[in-house]
Amino acid sequence: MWDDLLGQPRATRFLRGAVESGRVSHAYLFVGPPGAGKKSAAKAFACALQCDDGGCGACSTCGRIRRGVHPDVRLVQPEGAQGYVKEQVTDLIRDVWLAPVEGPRKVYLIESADLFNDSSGNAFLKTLEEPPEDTVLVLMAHTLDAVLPTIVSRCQTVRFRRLAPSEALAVLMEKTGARREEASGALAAAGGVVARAREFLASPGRRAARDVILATLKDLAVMDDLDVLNAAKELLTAVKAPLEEVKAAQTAELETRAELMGRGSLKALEERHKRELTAREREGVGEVLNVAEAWIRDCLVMSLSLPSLVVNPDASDAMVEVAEVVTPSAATTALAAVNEARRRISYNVSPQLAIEAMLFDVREVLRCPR
Amino acid sequence: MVVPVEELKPVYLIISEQKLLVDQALSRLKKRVGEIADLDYNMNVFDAENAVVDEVIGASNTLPFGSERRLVVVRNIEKMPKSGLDALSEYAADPSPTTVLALAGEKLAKNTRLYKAVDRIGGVLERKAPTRRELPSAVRSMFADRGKEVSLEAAELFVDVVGYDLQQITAEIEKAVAFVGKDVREITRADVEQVAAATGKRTLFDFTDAIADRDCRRALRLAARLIGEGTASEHALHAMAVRTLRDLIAVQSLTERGTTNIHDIARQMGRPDWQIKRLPRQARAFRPGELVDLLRAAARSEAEMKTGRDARLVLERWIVKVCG
Ligand SMILES: [Zn+2]
Repeated sequence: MWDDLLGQPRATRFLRGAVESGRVSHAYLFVGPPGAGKKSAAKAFACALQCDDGGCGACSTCGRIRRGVHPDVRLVQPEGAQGYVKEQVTDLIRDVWLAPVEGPRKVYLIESADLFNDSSGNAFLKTLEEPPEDTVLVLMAHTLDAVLPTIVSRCQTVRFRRLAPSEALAVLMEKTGARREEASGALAAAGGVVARAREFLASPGRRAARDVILATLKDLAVMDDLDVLNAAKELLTAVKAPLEEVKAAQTAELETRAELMGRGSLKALEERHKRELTAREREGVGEVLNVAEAWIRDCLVMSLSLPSLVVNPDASDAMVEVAEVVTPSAATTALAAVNEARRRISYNVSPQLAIEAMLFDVREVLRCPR
Repeated sequence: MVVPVEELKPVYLIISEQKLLVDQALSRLKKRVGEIADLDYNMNVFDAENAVVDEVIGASNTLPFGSERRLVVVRNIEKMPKSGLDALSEYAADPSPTTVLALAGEKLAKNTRLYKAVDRIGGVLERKAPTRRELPSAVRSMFADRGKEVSLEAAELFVDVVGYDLQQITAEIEKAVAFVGKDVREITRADVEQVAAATGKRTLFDFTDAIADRDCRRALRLAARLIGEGTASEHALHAMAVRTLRDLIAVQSLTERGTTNIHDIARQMGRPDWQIKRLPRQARAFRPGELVDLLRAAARSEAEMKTGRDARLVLERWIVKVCG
């Protein structure tokens, strides 16, 4: 599992040393820019703590932690629009005091630690200082400055550095054996996050969703209104298709665990599986938007005769025509449409409607790219 | 010793509309108490439906046998009569320190004495039901449990028509399953519309019809009525009207492609003839490009609704625009 931590030798050495020497603190704060691999590291750390073989990466425990469905490794994200709300923290604190379901301990992976405000942060301090002995809290944040000092002082800080794009590309190619072209497209789809790009490369379904958005963009200018609606539908279907891969893994897990678990726990497991599917669907939509954004950017850099900056070289045929006519301001308008879709989906607007509106906006730009 | 004993609350209230979430929380609590108590001798389980509250309180006031704690569980707390709830809130104000009393069930209002009493000692564990966004998928798997397949589109329509109440959703699912009969495996959008019409939700389709007719007065009046009587939320009406826009766009494009026969149009849209027969005429009342613009406006207005603007006002403004 430590293998999942890409390009972060110092953080890896530190965490690994803590586990192997048996000197694990009760609270950590992982700090680093988006895409640096904090979440992968947090999961690898959780595996090392929970797995009987110190995080082998191959057993059911490791597999479920990686997929975010292990009952004793809880991923916590802010529920309020502005961050962590008091009720969520109260609930979290109560949960911390319940027993682990399976293993010897529980690990909480708490994202966006900068989004604790004074009130929710203070409510959490006592627990952060002295959680039950069988609990490890891993908080994550982009920068140290944004986190309440009272939280920082109660955690062991672990820093993650930003990988340069060329470095990310090299690491990804080395770990997966992918060709430069594939790796570059995967990184663009994964928003530059190496760990996600790696998963992306391993998933035929997610690569197929990328193909669908690329094909849609290629033909978008000549599509009629109904074609566009159908393309949006097809895109969402393609985003959902990789979920079948997840479902297959889930079914296998249900079968192997059925003998070991009571009915109640099985139902709880199914519930966790459902949540996993929702999260993956969101991620899938995000990937499609990343690809669209990268494609438009590629058209722009081609129009500026900078072909070496293209990140989707496998789709460059379709870009040539657009690149001949597109202006920087037209490209900016199209990029804004993609961003708007991303923003709307984050507000829980139906992904279908958000993507339809985006495709109609981009079509307008492609038809009249001035 | 892993758990500091004093961290266990003397009374827990475990609440979720989802029974399985309640079960999950109960089993975790049971495990925690089991670490410090031999539950073979120190546990009682009651069902509020037929339990006598004095017996519950009696069990809670009993000292543990050879252990540090006793566990008393009361299920289906929502079925407890008011007198019972009052007695329990009195107990919660001064609970036995050697007992963990777990009151579990679907719901208990926040303004009840019991809720407040348990909340005061930090014992409320509320588990959330699926969000509105997750409901269509939940509906699909509920249908799947009954051997029926439903497309996501039909499931979304189903949620818009039926509303967000899980109990009502369950009841309407039973109706829909009975409606199509046991030989039919797939439940279509047309089936959902027919079930809805049969169960007094016809007005919803009068509303979308008014939208397609660009009849502003009728659309606003029906929207006000549906929202007022609690039949549909602003979000549901918006979603249904957006579906109508998509239908109109489809018909307009098909007509431009040269498909004019109503039967052919229906077949290409995968819908029965009767459901779409008025659409071609209605679609003609929109200028080229107008429907697409309205759909983009719909994305804007949905974002406004979801970011806390006055949903009713946003919906009405959009309706006026559509009917323009
Ligand atoms: Zn393992």
